[in-house]
Amino acid sequence: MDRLSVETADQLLARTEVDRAGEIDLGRVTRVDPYGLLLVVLIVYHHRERGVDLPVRWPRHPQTRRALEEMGLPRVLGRSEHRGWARADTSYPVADISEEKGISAVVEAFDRRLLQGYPLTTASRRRLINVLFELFQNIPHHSNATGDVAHPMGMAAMQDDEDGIHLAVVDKGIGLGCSLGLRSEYHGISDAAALNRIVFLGMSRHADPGHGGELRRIAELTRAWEGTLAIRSGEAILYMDSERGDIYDSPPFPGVQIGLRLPRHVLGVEEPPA
Amino acid sequence: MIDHEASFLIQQFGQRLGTRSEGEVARTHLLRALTALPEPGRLLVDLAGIDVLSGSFADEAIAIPYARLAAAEYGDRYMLVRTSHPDLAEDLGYKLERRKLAMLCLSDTGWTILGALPPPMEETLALIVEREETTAKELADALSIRHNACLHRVGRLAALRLIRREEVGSAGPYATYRLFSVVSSAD
Repeated sequence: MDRLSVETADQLLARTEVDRAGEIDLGRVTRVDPYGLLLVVLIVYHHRERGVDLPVRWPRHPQTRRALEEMGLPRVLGRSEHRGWARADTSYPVADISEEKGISAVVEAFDRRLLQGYPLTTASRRRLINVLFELFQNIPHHSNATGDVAHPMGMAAMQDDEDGIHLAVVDKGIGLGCSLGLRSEYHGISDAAALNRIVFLGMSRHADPGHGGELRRIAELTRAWEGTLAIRSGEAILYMDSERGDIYDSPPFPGVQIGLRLPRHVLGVEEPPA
Repeated sequence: MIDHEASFLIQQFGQRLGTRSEGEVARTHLLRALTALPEPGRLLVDLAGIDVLSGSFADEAIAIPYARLAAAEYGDRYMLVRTSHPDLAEDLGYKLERRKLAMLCLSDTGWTILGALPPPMEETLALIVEREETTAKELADALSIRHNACLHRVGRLAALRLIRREEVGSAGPYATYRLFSVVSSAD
């Protein structure tokens, strides 16, 4: 694997969760997006909780190593206690979003970064910030709705490059199937069916219609912006672009992991020539 | 006529408003302001000075109180949103739509509807706003629809708190109402 991203992260999960590989080998990786990076963190912590120390073989490519350092990966993995390791400022893109009270500060930090780098229109910026608020809030609202998960590990990271903006929001909580299954009519629902109902029909674990619908709205916005969206939960993953959205089987892993990629025109920047 | 009016500045809770818990705090204050308003009265929820208003905050702070208003919990009172930047209220509109509610939004270019309102209802509402005060019979004639169909429409508009309806008597099997716009020409 030379690229660890939304498209290839399931290969990593298959190795660690199905094949029970004894390490995460990023040696040949030359690019890591925030989704891949945060998934590595979750996998390592998931193993630690089971008493297994899963070593990470770092990328040999110096630029890739530096990028991972800038994103805070070695620091994050170097600590045994996950809370408080990520500061919500421009220097540390990986941010802790486990609790709702810290979310406004994280959104503000991400907003500051975007404003420094891009000539966003007011309307685009407002929509983008709303997307951040809703994605981030999903973690404290849903990742531990049963109260059974000791550390859901809600995290967010952002990266921008020539393709646009990459945003990842992850947790290792109860997952979408279990969350929606808290409603009696959906008890025992599969992850794929839950993904379908939540993303395409706007359902949520709350009967109150004002709650929920956020992922559906984000999916609609992503489509309108010609971006891509990946949502992985339990044993299913949804890939969506401006033309289609399909749900596939995925190696089993707890929680929900979301990868959002928005093209440069959303940020007010022309696309690079093809 | 709506005799009383008050403004409620959302900006007092911050400029970038995003989380449900922040919205819950704002809701308490908004409901207090609504209750303090004499009847009949309208509360203008003013978005001046707001940079971002997320759907979650807006649902807690504005849509939930509006749902309670539409459930007749707050008497002869009305709520409208006022903003110079209608795109700020987009996500509030989405939440109102999910709750099957509609709310009047005043901007520099006039009034619009946030949430869900079918075109025939909006047409009826526009006529009431234009006339400021009217009756169902006058509306039925102007819209070329049957009287009971018109009564159904204005009944729904009144239930959604988009107009004020005052019963003034009866004509045959039907109650007679005076209908008042909650938007004034000064808006």
